[in-house]
Amino acid sequence: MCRIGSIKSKVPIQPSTALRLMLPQQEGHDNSGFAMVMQDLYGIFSGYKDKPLLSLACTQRGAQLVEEYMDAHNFVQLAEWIPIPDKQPGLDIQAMPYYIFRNYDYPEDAEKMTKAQKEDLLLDTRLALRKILEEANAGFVYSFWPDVLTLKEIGDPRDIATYFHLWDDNGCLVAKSIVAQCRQNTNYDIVRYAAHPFFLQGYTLCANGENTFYTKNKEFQKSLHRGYIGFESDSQCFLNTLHYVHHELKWPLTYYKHVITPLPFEEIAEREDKEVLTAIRQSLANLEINGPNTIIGVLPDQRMITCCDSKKLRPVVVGRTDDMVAISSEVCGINEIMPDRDQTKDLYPNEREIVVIDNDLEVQRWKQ
Amino acid sequence: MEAVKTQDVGINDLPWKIEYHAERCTMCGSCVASCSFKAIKVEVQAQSITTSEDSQPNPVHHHIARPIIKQVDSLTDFCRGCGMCEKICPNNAIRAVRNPDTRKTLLSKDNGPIKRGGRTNLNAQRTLDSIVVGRISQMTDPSLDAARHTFDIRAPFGRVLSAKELPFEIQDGKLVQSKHTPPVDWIYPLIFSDMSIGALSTRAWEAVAMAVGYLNEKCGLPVRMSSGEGGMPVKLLESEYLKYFIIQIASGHFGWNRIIKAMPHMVTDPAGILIKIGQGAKPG
Ligand code: SF4
Ligand code: SF4
Repeated sequence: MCRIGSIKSKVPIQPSTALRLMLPQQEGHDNSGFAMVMQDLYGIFSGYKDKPLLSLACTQRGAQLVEEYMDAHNFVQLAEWIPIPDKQPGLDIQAMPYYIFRNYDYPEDAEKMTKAQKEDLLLDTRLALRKILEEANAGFVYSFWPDVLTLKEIGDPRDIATYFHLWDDNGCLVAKSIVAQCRQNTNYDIVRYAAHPFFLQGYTLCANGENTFYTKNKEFQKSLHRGYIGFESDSQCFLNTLHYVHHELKWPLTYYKHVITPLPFEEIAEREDKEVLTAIRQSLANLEINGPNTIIGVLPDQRMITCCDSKKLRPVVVGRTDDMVAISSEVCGINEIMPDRDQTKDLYPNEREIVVIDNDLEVQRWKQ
Repeated sequence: MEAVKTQDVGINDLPWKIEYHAERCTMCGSCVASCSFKAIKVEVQAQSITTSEDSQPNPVHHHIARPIIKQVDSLTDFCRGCGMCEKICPNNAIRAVRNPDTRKTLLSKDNGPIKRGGRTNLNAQRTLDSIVVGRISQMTDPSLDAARHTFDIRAPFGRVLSAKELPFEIQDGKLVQSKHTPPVDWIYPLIFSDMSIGALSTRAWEAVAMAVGYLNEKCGLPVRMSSGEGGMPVKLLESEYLKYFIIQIASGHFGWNRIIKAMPHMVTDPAGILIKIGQGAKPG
């Protein structure tokens, strides 16, 4: 099992805080990579919060291909940050030649577009870039969305942080929300796309555990939406379902839990809303998940959520202070970054709830 | 010498063959006495043996008649494989062995005239014998663990709408169903091939219907049975038991008229209607 963690803060934080949350939790295959999604950015991207930000790891050829595509599709480059790596010898990192984080302005004709049309444009652009890079074997594109930055790399997270100067706290990368994970895939091939967290149209998700309904989730999801691709990791299914229930069906978030871990038939029969719950279970039986797992997610409105499998077989704890909330697989990580918090206020979510942290850091527990 | 006809029954036509060791047999006769099917008998067998006991070749010819136990080659007094002889024999000298090449069904015409084509009459393998019941946890990779995974084999039976078609409205942050949806039952998706009840005798379908009713009402097993092509006896269509039956309507149109005529008299809905569009195999 891998450890996952996330921080939501009133004061913008730097990636080193996320690293300090994750590193003490090392166990087994952990610390074989580092991946994070930062949302609600301050630092160097703070002036472009409403402009889509492209996160890319590629070769020189890849950078060229991306530039050509974006030019041809009338995206106008605004700000850019290309980290200059610390290439000191002995670092455990399988780095790509270039890491590019670049803000674009929408093409001119996007002005008339609705919010949904813009969202589709960004998704389709990312999918097109991914295809181009994949065909040329020239790199990876992780996200293309306003106010969202993704970094994924293979190696020792400490060394990866050194390589990108993340320990320096130099103020380049600063955000109010970070989701992080320190491990490469161990079930399938090691591919950068397989590393959590995953991102899709404003939704970020990482999961600790396994999904034994991977195949049936995957086969069904493939038919639901063009954005549900890759499936390099069984945990991507959790993200696709979250996106489908909340973004496509536009159902309230609580129903995400009813879809992935439906109540037993006997319990549904006792409830007032049994008609609705039964219909959901029937129509979305193929999105049910199985096996031990914990999910951490971030929604397009920046709310952060966590929930567990129906038997609560994987650990998760929520710790909080007045201006920061952290979700983490193990409490030792939270102790590291918030040693002075009131530990009696720590939450250990149960198998039948979704914990939601809103933008005022109010923690709500929604019972399924 | 006795005349032999090609159609005579031989031991190898029978479902069981006796494996007998004359050298161990003491001729106590227990096996023959114990066989309630008269499938074995004592017979005298002629043997012609040439032996030589000296250091130089000195052949002596013996012609002996010795009693042995022999299987009866009869379509009525055939060995049933009950194993009584083997149990009773003090010397491990006899036992019955299944004969995979039996032609008994063919020769005895137990089931009417010999059928050609379709299922082979020679095949001794029986489907139900080769069903292996195992733990699902041992058949997957990675292996599943009942404590860690939820198992529920029920499946929806009926017309399931896609999530986008569900007539839901949001009221106070909750989904509310605004229209009816087609009825769906959650069943155990264990299906035995549809069998033509219409082709059964009255006694037989009554027995089947009662068995299905018993499984549901006494054992709490949600068993449903399909009529198969050919419709159903009117008595069953108009009975309470219909709720446990799935009426099959097939391309051959057999039994349609009976179903239509019975509809006004039905006291309950059938468990389902199964529309068979194509026909798979037609033996013969
Ligand atoms: S197995 Fe039974 S039927 Fe067959 S010969 Fe022995 S006693 Fe008779
Ligand atoms: S019971 Fe055994 S020993 Fe006795 S006659 Fe039969 S085969 Fe021979």
